[in-house]
Amino acid sequence: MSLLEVDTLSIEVHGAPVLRNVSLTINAAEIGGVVGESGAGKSMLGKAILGVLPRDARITHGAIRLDGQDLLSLSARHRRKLQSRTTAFIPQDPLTALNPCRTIGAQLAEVLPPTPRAHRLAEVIRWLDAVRIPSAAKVAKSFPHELSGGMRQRALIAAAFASHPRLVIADEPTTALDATVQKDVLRLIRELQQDTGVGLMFVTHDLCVVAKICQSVTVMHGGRIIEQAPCDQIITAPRHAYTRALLAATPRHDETGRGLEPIPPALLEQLITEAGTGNG
Amino acid sequence: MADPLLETRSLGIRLGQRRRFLRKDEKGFPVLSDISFKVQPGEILALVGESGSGKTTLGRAIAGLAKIQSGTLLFDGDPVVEPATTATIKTRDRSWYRRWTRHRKDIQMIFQDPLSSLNPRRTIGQSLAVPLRNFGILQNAPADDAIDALLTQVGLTPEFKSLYPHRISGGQRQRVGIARALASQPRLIIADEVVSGLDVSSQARILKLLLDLRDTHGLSVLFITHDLAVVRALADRVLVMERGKIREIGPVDQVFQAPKHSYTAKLLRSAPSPEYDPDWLQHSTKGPHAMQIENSVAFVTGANRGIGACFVQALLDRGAAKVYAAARDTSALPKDDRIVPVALDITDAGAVAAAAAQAGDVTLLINNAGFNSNSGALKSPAMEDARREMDVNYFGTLSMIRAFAPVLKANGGGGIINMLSILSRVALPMMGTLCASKAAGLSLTQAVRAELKAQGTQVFAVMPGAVDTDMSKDFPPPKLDPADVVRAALNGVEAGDENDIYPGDMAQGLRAGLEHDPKEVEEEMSGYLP
Ligand SMILES: NC(=O)c1ccc[n+]([C@@H]2O[C@H](COP(=O)([O-])OP(=O)(O)OC[C@H]3O[C@@H](n4cnc5c(N)ncnc54)[C@H](OP(=O)(O)O)[C@@H]3O)[C@@H](O)[C@H]2O)c1
Ligand SMILES: Nc1ncnc2c1ncn2[C@@H]1O[C@H](COP(=O)(O)OP(=O)(O)OP(=O)(O)O)[C@@H](O)[C@H]1O
Ligand SMILES: [Mg+2]
Repeated sequence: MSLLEVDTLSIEVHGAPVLRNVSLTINAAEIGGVVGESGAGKSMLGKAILGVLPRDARITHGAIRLDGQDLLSLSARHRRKLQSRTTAFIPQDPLTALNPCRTIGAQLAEVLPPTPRAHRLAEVIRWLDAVRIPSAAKVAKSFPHELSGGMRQRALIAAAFASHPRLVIADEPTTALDATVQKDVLRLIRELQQDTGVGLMFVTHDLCVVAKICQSVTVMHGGRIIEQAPCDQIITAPRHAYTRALLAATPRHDETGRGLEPIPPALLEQLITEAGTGNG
Repeated sequence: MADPLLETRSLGIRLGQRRRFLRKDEKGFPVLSDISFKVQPGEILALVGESGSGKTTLGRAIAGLAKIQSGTLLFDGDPVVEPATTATIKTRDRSWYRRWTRHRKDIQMIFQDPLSSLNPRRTIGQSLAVPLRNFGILQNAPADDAIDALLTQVGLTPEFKSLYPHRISGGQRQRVGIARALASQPRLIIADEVVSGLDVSSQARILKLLLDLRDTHGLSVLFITHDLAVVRALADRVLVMERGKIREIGPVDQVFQAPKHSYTAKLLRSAPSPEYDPDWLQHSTKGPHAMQIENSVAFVTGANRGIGACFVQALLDRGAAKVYAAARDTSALPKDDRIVPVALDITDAGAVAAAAAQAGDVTLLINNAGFNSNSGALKSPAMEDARREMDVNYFGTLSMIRAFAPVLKANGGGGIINMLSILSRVALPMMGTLCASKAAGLSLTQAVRAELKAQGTQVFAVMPGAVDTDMSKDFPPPKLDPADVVRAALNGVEAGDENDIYPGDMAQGLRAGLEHDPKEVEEEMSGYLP
């Protein structure tokens, strides 16, 4: 049994389909990448799993199972209670995700599993240190606006793992960071993830990062899954023309003249027709 | 070569409230200094650097949105900012502003998130009409035609005119931002992180658009980004910034293939490329001075309290095999299988020699013991105090290094961490004798560093600001937590990017200040008299 099983999930907003027949599994200690252009439905999928869909979104078909437990059959209250202990989220924008009026330490202490009051601060500092925040003791006493973007992002990563979840969903956790910090943060995510055995769903449009840290990859477009395969296959032998086009559009620092070709419009049209006729 | 479109000579910018060491004043602190570069017509120059290195500030300054305090800025040969005028320049100063208005049409800035810079209550067409009117571009042509032309130019359809900014995607919004910047028919565009957060396809479209505009209109672009792959795809030359200074500038291919500065090399080492490589994260991004703490055998002086006690604990936490904890009084040392207590006064040459003989397996020597008399140089008992400071901080450290250098050599090189202080680099009134002893320690560190290189021993200097221990109990806050100092030191040793480590904001700020203007730092410090 996989840790996370999304089974033929379809979602509509105001009657328009935003996810169609999406299935995906993530095992414990696995990093599964979800890639695609903006509007592909990546974030909607994440929200559905976290149980925070917008009000006007409606699940029309399918199931989401965490450790075999069918999440959609639970009452809202029950589901929230279960997921607050088992699922954590690392958002793209660290500033809006933190409460501006409370210290980093207080916000981290809140998500720790029950810890005696006396050990809480030490535990918070241990987590801040684990994400390589310099001056962890001081940062624990700081407010979010007093930290740089990279620092806030690390605090959020610490918060996500400190709650000892089973599954972490990370939405573009490193797009705002420069290369050195990005690599540190990715390494950290992977170390924490391997130490704790959590499954990680990594939502991104950066195929460079995917190629380095994911074990499996799901490529999405227009709310549908275009291709799903182990990471090495997606990167080295992509089957679908769309995946190849995404790779071709990816610039690289070690080669000139790459990353200037957008996805050909003809290919996008073809995908839309395919979706209309129910293929794929 | 053609005349440059933009040229800066030793530009300097200060921002915010300067910390006068501990107090604040209005003069601001230096954010950028000695910035000199040129942008040719039709050239795309990328600006990269760590977060907070001053990229946005530089872009804003060139666009006339931030004040420049020193240096010269020439646009198209016209000195917009000159040394003679800089002193009086303020953002709201009208006389200064007029100099810029001559070129305001020619220099446009695009920001990362156009949503925050587009008026949400205006349609896209209305937003585009504003610069068209302001810069008198319209002449006799009807506004609608000009707007349609702008939208088409950035690859959008005229239908977008009637939409509101929140209704369109990020990539489309970014193109509206570019269309608005193009409305005044500028010659230089400053683009700040305009493609971060966009998917590769939208990104490719925008990069292509900029290249097209360059080819067809001879547009110059200063492209600020943290994405090295985008730099390679787009730019002709790249300028690398760190701590408000230009570290390297040159053609992209040349800089990326053979980076000259260690910071550029580090950036490139960390940038991923789209090849499957599950071991990539393990590939070391470690710098040239990296040392492993795990399984090391450490020797810490002054281990009974303060920073020394924190070192002992942190070394154990990081998996050191054994820690010799040396102190004059060993009774307060914690009990642990891996801790070996050593009774040691570092001013006692015989005891130092005996310690080195006893601890023949040491791979990491941490010279932490120190003494601060906390008395001014001119006070009456100061001679004894001053001697004592020299005896402990300088001679004590020297005799430890002499005794342990052969031990480290025998064990394969290893490393030495000298606990110095930011006062090794700047002098504080009333602490002159301590500063002198710590400065002596830094000189010694630098010389020994060179001499021990041949035997493979890394020598680190750790230079924090004020730390919250007995030594600084009369010193006003803010003070660093000693555990944070130790963390910064050991993280720095493990990362190995630099062998001088500056824990905390105070030390970092003074270090940057010294890079910008040492004399000014001296004057600031002289203002500190309790
Ligand atoms: N505190 C600060 O603000 C600050 C800032 C920058 C750098 N530093 C440096 O950090 C290091 C540690 O300072 P700290 O803040 O931990 O100070 P601390 O709490 O005063 O501790 C000083 C330590 O040095 C030991 N020591 C002094 N003279 C010695 C001698 N002759 N032989 C052996 N041990 C001796 C002391 O041992 P006893 O207990 O026997 O006296 C004590 O363990 C020092 O080198 C200091 O200069 C401190
Ligand atoms: N208004 C201000 N007052 C005081 N300091 C400021 C102000 N604006 C910026 N700074 C400081 O100036 C320095 C340079 O900031 P800048 O925004 O130019 O960095 P950057 O290189 O663009 O960073 P990033 O990559 O994070 O965007 C930073 O240390 C910042 O904290
Ligand atoms: Mg910036």
